[in-house]
Amino acid sequence: MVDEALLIQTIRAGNENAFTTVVERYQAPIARYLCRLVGERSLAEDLTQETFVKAYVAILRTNSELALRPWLYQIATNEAKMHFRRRKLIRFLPFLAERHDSPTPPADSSVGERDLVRQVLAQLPEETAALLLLYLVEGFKQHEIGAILGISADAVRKRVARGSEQFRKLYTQLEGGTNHAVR
Amino acid sequence: MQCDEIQGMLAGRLADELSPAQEEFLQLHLTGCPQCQASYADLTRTRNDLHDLATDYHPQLSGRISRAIASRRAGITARRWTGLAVRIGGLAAAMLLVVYAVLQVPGLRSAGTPPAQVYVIEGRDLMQIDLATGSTRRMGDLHSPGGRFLGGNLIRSAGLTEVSPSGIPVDLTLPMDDSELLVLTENADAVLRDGSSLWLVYNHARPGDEPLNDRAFEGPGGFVLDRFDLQTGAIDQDPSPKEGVVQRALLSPDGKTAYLLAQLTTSPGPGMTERTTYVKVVDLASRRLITAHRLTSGFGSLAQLHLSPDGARLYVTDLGRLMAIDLAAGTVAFDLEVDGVTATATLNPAGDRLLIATLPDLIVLDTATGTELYRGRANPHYSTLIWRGDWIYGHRYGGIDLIDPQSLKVVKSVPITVYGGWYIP
Repeated sequence: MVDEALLIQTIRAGNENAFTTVVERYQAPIARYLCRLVGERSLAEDLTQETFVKAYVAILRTNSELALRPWLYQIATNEAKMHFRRRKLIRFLPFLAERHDSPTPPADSSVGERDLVRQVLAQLPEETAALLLLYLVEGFKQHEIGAILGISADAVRKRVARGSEQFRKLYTQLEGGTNHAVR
Repeated sequence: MQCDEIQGMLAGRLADELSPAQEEFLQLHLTGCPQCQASYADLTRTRNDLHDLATDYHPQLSGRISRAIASRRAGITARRWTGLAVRIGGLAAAMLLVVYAVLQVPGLRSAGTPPAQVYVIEGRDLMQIDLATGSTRRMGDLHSPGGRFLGGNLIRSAGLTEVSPSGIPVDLTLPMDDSELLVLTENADAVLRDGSSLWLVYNHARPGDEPLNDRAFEGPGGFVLDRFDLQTGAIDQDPSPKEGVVQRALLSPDGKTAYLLAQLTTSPGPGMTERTTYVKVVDLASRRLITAHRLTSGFGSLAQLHLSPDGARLYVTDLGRLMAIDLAAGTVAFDLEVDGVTATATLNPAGDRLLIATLPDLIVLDTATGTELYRGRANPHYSTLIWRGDWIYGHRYGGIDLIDPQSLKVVKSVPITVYGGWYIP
């Protein structure tokens, strides 16, 4: 594997193809992370593209040392947050309305469960959703997430516990067919 | 040890972040605590649920990204050539302007005083960093037996400041006086400090309490402001919870007023949630809400508050936005878009300059008008900035930087692996 510091140096030196290595290395995990976070495949792809474009521009404009992986996740998380802002934080959950009309569970119960998990994530504050994904799925350490989200490692520790509790409460509520608005 | 401290260790166990001693301690606790057993089972289920989410993406995504980057690259190149001609023409005038600015603008005068010693909590250690030389000195272990550390007279431990021997990182440092630092391990959502008290903000009521309400309007929100007396250790609990979830807090210079960035969640219709962000102004003597400034839709839970040194004006920054509120009149002086993705900001000691860290620039604004004065490009995305004296101190992923306010260049960097709060005298 090419050393990342060398890779960044090569990009800054003007090797236009060096950034392709960054894209190839990180596009899959970033796209999957964003897909989980925003819940829509096409939107996640748009945000992934924007993440890498911003990263490319930023690498050229700075001379700082970068830890690529957390840095890219930081940009990706910010892109998702900006998207939620643009949507003015109003989320529609048509699945619930359909569910009232049609109480029969889907044939593949794992699909139904995944939809439920998506709904729960969509109702969590975006920072909480990002934090749970970064910690429980992407495997970042608490201090790395602190740096990504701009909070202390101790705040991450507290918010993981609290976020998981929120997640389970919402999951239980939605599984029971009720839809309480939450934070 | 209380169960709320164990909750943090449970997450650490899932991520393999616990030491063997912590793991053994946790296992012992779990054996006798059904509540924490249930929490751990919940956390594991949450992780499995999130893992199981389908995450397909189009196989040609990388081609699409490459095309977008090529297009951006072409734009950059074109702008460079156009910009070059303009720059050559304007060079002489620009040099004259720079000379004028150095002479006239306080923020551009050369840094005169040496940088301060910075105290940082790194893991379980208190570290002293000399940014003049880049050297680091370990002051002591914050988790010493008995939960107290008095080495170097830097820590005074009282009541809630008892340091846990469990190995859980401490939260933040605040100055006690000229020779001591106060180390907090309390799980407050925000902490304010006046002369003799700490004001502790708790969302969702206090630790161990049930959420304040199940109202569809508010969700599990609501906060309280408890007062902790630093001399006696007594805690005066806030009897009247207030609406909202507090994200940030600031104290007025006279210590009488708290400014709280709070979000309210409402449900305008079935299946919809809408969040509104306010700056809530609370009189600390009575703990009553004086007023609330509703922020425009560009401001959310990531917003940060910055108070002018005289306490007259509040600046609110968020992703790409800056708002200034004149507190006496309750009016918005300006509400601007800022170029780039805003990460954090800091005011200079005089209060006439605001430094905003964006991705990728550092931008210095005139606080009277909100206009940009100058910018620099050596920014690895700071999570916290402090403009103190003649220097700017920046915390970023992996370290702390000393930044020259004139050039906005990093003049010294010290690596830090685990960050648990800092204090600059």
